[in-house]
Amino acid sequence: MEEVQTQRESEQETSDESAQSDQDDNQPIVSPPTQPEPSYPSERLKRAAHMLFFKRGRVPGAKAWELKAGIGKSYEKVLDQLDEDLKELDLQVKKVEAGGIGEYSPDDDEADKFRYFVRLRGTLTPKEARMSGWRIDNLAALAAALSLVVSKQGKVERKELEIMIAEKAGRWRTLTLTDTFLRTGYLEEDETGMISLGWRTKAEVDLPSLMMLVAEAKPQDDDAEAPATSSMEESVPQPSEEQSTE
Amino acid sequence: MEEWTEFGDHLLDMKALASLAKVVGLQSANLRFQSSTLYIDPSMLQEKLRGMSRDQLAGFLLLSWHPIVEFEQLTIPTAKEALDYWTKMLPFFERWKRFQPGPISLPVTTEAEELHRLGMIADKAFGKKLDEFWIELKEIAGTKTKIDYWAFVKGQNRSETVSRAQLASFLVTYGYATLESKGGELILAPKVQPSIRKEATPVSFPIAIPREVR
Repeated sequence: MEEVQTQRESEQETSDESAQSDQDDNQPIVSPPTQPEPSYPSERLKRAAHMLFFKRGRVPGAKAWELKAGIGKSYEKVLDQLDEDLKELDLQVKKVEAGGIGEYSPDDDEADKFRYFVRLRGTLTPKEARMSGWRIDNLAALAAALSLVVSKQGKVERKELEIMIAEKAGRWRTLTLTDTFLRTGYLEEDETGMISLGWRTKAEVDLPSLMMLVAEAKPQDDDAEAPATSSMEESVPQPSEEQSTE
Repeated sequence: MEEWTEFGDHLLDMKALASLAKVVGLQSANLRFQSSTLYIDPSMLQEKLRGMSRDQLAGFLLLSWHPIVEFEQLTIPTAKEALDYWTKMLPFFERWKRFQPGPISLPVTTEAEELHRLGMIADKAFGKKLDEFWIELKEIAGTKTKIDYWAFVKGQNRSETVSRAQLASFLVTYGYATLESKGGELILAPKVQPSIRKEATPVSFPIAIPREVR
C-alpha cells in the first residue's frame, strides 16, 4: 500500500514536472518566468492529516520518525502546509518534545524526539467544554493542580496536590479526579509518589498564559458566586478569538 | 492639601505619586516575567488558588487550553480480531458449565400469607389496627374506664407484647387514651372520643419492657 502510494506520488511528481516543462516550452519568450509556489502533493497532505488525526496507540498524534517514514524527509514542510490549511478550521499542528511521554530515549535521533499533534488553535468556550463532557469543578481542579505543580518547580507530593484539589472539587471526588488526570496524561506520577506535568499538559496547555492569569487574578470567594453552571458564561472573559468539542 | 500653597509642594506630591505608580508597574512587570518563566512563589500561588472561585479557575484554564483533536477508529485488524473472538466464543450455557454452579432453582411466587409470616407486609392498615386496639382497650377497661398498662399490653409472647406496646404508645400520642403514672404503676385510660390537648407540651415517656414481661 505504502509502495503503491509512493509510486503513484512519484509518477504524479514526474507528470507534474513534465507538464511544467511542457508548459515552459510553450510559453512565449517575452513573458517573465513564473516562480511556482512551493506546494506539496495533496496525497502527502492527506497522509499527514490521517497520521495526525487518527489515534493508533495510547497516545494520539505521530512521532517524527513515523512521519518521516510515511511522508518523506520533507515532512516538516508538509506539516507546515497542513498547519496553514488547518487555520481555517481553527486547528493547528503542534510540535511537542517527547520527553515525558515515556517513549523517547537519548539514543534516538535529535529530530525523532518530537511528537506532532493536531490541536485547537483557539480555545473552547465554557459551554463547549461542558458539551464535551467537562464539568466546571473538574476544570477548576485541573487548573489548580497544574498551577501548583508549576509553582513547585515541576514536582509536587501527591498528598499536597490532593489537598489543593479537595479545596476546589470536594474531598470525595479528589481521588477519582487525581487518577483521571494521571490516566489521561495531564499529570504523571513517579515511583516515589511525586507528581509532575504529563505529556498532554505540554501539548494542550499554554502554561505561561495560565500562570499569568492566575498570578494576576483578584480573589473571588466561592461563597459569593452563583451556581457554577449558570454563572460561568457571564463571569468568564471571552477569548479574543471566537472559537467554536469525557 | 490646603497647606500646600507652593507650586513646588504640588510638584513634590506628583513626583511621589509617579514614583508609587512606577513601583506598582514594576511589580506587575516582575509578576508577568515570573509567570512567563513559570517561576512563581508557591505560597503566594496557594493563597491565590484558595481565594479563587471554581468559575474563575475553570475560566483561566479554558483561556489557556487547546485540546488535542483525536479520532478513534476501528481498524481492519482489530475488527478481524473481534470477529474471531465472537465466532470462537462458546454459547452462554456452555461457558456457564465451567463454573459448575449445580442445579439452579427457578424463582417461585410468594403468597401474601408467607409475607405476613415473615413480617414483610402488614395484614391490616395501621389506622384500622389502631381503631381495633382502641375498641379492645375500651372493652377491657369496661366501666372502670382505666386499666393497668402491663395487664393490657402483655401478649402471648415477647414479640406480641412489643407490638401491643407500640400500638398503645400511638393510642396515647394520638389522643385515644391517657397514660398516668401512680405510685410506680402505669394506668391506661381510654377516651370516649380521641382528642389532643394542643396547648400542652408533648412529653416523651419511655417505657422499658422488663424481662419478666414476655
